[in-house]
Amino acid sequence: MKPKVSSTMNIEKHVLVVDEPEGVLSGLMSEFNQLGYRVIWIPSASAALAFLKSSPKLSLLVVSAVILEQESDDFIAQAREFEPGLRIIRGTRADTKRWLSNRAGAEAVLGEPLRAEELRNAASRLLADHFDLRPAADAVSLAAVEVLSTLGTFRIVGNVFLKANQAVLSDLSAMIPFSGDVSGHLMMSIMSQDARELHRRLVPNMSGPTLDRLEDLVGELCNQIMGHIANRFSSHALNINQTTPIFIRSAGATLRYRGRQPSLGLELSDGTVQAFIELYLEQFDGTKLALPPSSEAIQRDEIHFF
Amino acid sequence: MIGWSALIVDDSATLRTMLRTVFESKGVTVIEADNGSEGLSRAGEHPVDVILADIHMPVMDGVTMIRKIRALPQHTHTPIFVLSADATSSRLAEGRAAGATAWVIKATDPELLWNGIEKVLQRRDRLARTGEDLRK
Repeated sequence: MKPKVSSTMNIEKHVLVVDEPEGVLSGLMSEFNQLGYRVIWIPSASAALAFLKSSPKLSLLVVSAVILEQESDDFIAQAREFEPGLRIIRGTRADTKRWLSNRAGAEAVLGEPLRAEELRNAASRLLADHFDLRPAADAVSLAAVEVLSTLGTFRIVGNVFLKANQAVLSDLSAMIPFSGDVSGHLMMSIMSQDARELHRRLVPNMSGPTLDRLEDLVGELCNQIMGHIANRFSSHALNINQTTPIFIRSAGATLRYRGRQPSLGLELSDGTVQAFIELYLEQFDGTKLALPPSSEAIQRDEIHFF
Repeated sequence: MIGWSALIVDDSATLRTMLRTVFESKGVTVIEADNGSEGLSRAGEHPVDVILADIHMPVMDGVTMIRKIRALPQHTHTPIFVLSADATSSRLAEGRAAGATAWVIKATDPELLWNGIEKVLQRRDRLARTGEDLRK
């Protein structure tokens, strides 16, 4: 049977789903599309193996329990022969999950019927691994916490996750495009009442800041986080040219990106204020960042005299 | 320290206000500018004791501004602290070549920043009293 491709082929951003027609994984098409990946649906193990044998590299393979039970229990091992770097999620009947988890041969085993959130989390983690995004995720997490910690005891709520290729904006957003060895943009988005609270902490004596002033604060924080990310990248010989912030004032609006590149999102909170950070990567090679730094960056609270 | 003046050049009004609050509490007179071009004009008009400069600014960036300020006879020895989130090695090299005195990463505690500035200005005043050259 001919593979069903959701849209134009795009190497390295494909997810291969192997399940019977209208099977338990049928809801995946939209989930993965929202994550920014093309979905190829193949309804049999043999056709999937033929596809793997002939096709370019895939990012992720998701296979349902029914395919493995009915057709080929060693499908995963065979798939690995064709594509050793493939990340695999396998579905399993809930009662056999514990047994399978030890010998699944997959990076993630999820009980069926799959829950969308569980699937999103697993796919996000595996795709981040696949694209070597962990070092970038670490960089954006550390930078955001370091900058915002001057205004409160902020921590990351949940983990850094791979985002859909669109962002839903809060009241006030600032975006800083960057280019160089790594290109993309950093965006910070925050509700106006939360920006007001941060402004009060930073400048306690100033009452009633205007929206312009709150926007300025969001831009400045975004700029500082971007700088900390750039410094970390720079210590790994990855140079970034950052620009001044662009401001967007439009609650609930969505921002769609042209490409289908990985994008990392994180939510920070100190219990009172919530802030959303997104690092969109157009061009990124994580291999340098995974190596030990080749130079030391200036630390916060350090005065570097020439 | 009474009588010292500082020029703060940063495109963020919030950051300028925050620094102004801290500096004025120390008895320092503050002059503000929101881009490099305006900073250069203010520096030409006022014989300030210290200049704080951001790097990424519209109209004129901080490195260009520092280079031009250093060319002004009244500011050949004025301490210039760069206050920027960007502290990449290439940017530091540009800042040093332009004539910056020190580089401080943004989000640094403003009291620590002030302590550093105060030490530099106290040293300058001490050397001025004894007639020594600040560059020694």
